[in-house]
Amino acid sequence: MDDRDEILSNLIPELKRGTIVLSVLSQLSGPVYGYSLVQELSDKGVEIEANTLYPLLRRLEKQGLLTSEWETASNKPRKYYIRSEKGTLIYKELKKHWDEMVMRVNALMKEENQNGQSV
Amino acid sequence: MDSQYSVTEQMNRYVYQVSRFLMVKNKEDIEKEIRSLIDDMLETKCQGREATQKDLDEVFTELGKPMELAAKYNDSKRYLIGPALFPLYFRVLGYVTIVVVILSFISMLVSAVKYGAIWNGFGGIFNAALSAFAVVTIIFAVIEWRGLSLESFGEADFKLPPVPKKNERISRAEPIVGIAFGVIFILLLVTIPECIGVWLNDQSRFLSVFDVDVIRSISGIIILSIGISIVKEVFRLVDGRYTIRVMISTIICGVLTFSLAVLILKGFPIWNANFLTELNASNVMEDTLHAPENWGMFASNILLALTAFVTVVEIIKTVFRTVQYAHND
Repeated sequence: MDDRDEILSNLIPELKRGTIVLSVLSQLSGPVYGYSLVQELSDKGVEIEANTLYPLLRRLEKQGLLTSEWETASNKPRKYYIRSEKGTLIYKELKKHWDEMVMRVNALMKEENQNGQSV
Repeated sequence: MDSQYSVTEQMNRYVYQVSRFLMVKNKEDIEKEIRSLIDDMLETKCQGREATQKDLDEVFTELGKPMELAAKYNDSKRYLIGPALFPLYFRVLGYVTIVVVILSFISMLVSAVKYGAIWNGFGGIFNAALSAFAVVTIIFAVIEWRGLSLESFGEADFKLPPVPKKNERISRAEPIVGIAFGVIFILLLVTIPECIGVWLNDQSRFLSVFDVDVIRSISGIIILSIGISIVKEVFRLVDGRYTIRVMISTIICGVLTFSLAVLILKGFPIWNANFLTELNASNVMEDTLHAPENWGMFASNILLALTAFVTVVEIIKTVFRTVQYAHND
């Protein structure tokens, strides 16, 4: 059972990976810059590393789900991202799928519990 | 001021290294964004005090090595040869390398016997293997790069052949060994027939069992005869099981090879008429070898009988297996 930790440490990021886009889209109804999004998500218990988030934001922008603008008024230039109309539509669709998926997977696990197998 | 300079310099270096590995448009924008990210991370870490080299190192560790960060920005995963193509690449590479190494090994032996230059040969084998590796890799890299899918090779229509049953399979080793031996025979017979025989120690030369001139004059027929049996082996290797195609090629090639063997063995005086005399004249044998004058005819008949036996057995086995496992595909 020594490899339990190792297996888990591979599986958990795998599980998280699919939720990252949903988490990010959920926070971008208003303009936010990258690092503040990292901190915001972290405060809410969702850890996404900056080196994952920054490239992801660009990818989402390229797909037309986000728009961005450099804020240069302050002495620190920052790039702010916000959900586009298309992004909002996609976000809502994804959210629907997520809700269904959670419901179904929970039902599967509940079913197993009821069959008397301990988890 | 000094440490501030150093922090800016280090940041520049990091961003420059990331930029070197970016394969996307808008590099400047990404550079600018990474700068602002590093600034933000330092600010959070330092909470008002001046940033030190240690803070910077921690930030860089968090962001990862420049090449790794750049990889995350680069659009898609780029492979020289991707996972979809890799198994096929690996298999082809294996076949090609084996064939090339065998061929160059034989050619090394031939040149060693003819010119006595054996050491050049080993470098030659290495070079040949390396070239084969490079050529196969480049071809597959181009396929990957052009995004050609396996569909263009007719493998994606899912009209797949059924999984062969155990006895229906033809093991890969069989045809490979057959091809290798065929090639070796051709090379030996055509290039150095004078060396097939006995090494006469006292005269420092080979005594060939063949009449070298006759062998040379009919080398075309020899190549044709062995070449036909190689064709048959290729069908077996490609199909990997008993198909109609394999059966037909086995029958046709078997009959042709046997007919040519009859022609070669019975139609030409291929044996060295002086073999026994010269052998007895040398001191290789302690006792004098007494053999009938027409030993060549005897050898021809034995070889023919062997060829006939092997051919007939192979044809019967192939027909039997093909009929037994006939599919409606």
